[in-house]
Amino acid sequence: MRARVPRPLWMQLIADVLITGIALVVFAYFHHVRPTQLQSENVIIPRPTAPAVTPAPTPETASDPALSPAVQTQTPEPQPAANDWGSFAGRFPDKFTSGAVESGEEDGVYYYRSPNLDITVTVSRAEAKSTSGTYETTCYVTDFYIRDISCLSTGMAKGKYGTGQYEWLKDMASRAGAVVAINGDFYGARKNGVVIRNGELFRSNHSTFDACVIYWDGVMATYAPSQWDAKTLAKDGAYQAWSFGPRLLDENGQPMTSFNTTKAVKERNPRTAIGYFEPGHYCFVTVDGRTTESRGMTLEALAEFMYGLGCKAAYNLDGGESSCLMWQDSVISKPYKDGRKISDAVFLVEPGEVQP
Amino acid sequence: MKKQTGAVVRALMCHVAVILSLMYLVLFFIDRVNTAMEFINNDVTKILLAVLAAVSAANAVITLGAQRRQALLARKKQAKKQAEKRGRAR
Repeated sequence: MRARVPRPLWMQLIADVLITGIALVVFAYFHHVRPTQLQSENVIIPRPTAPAVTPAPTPETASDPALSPAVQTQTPEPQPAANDWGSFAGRFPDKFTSGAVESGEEDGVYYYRSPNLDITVTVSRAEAKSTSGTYETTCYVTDFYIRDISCLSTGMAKGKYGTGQYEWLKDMASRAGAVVAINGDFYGARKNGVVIRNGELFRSNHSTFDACVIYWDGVMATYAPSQWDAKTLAKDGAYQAWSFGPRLLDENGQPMTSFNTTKAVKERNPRTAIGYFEPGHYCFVTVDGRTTESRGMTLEALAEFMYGLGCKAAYNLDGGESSCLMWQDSVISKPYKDGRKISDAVFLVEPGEVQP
Repeated sequence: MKKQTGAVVRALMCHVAVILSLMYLVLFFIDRVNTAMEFINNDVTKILLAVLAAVSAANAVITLGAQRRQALLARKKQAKKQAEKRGRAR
């Protein structure tokens, strides 16, 4: 039998590269494309009926400045009474209407006032700094007051918890009946990191990301990875928790300059962030980016911006193509490449709206 | 036949090593760009890395064995030549 003449080496290497490409596509399919419904840890975190002890951060162990002190900007006063935990009607009596719903838009300012919500969305050109100088970028600041913590709600793509479950923000918002909706932390792209949504602990795996927690009493706090543990957050009465970040303000409410994330995330990008003023009063910030008209913000610029708004704590959610802001039925921000399907969202809803 | 099968397995292992190495390099690069996606820190990549390590180790052992056989063969040839030289000199 005559031995076969081997193919030239270059041909063999090209075949290897092609097989590598196919293998990577198969990998991507199983890694993050294939929809997989996951099992929730199914820990229901009940709304407290009596004031709990304000959670304290665990001692700092990391030496990295990005991982150092926790942002723990909790406002303990006034303590809610036993029967109004997470209810802020008494805090902002002049903010809510007695029954009517007022809604509209005037000169780039969108407003919505009802017995439960006071929302103002301001569209502006904000000045941001980068290494190449100062420039202007388009920002949407959603400043809102809520009568009850349940008005600040979250939802998952197709109403399912899992990886590879993606849906347009518009569809999620319409299903939830949201007045305002923004993208969440895209939890579905990762298998680690705390996921607490509407008082249910879905995932408790630890991750190397900063966490942001809104407790049932309306307090929002951000933590470095060494300072959070999902089970403890649940025990302390977490209502929502995200793990992406990074956090933008330090424990004194000052803008951070060192961030627990990669270089690519730190650079100029479209942004979505959540800010905290006091229980019941928060803001969403959405920044258009990656276009000549609006180039986006670096994390440093975003931190400065949140500080300038007067936030006590602030946290970066997923950005880039995911970054999107919906006002009632329409997208009012300009998502890069028209946006993409995402795995979760944050809503402002009237209480009692059907949640997915 | 056995020799031929061995050669095919060895060639296959080399290609597997090249493919897995290229895959790992791509995953390493995109993981640096987007750590949040956990391209490296997941079960599938860990298994691929283990397979790459096993195949690389096997390739290394085979290469070392082949080198040793070649060296022994060269030594034998050299010894034979020297013996022939000495025979001619006598």
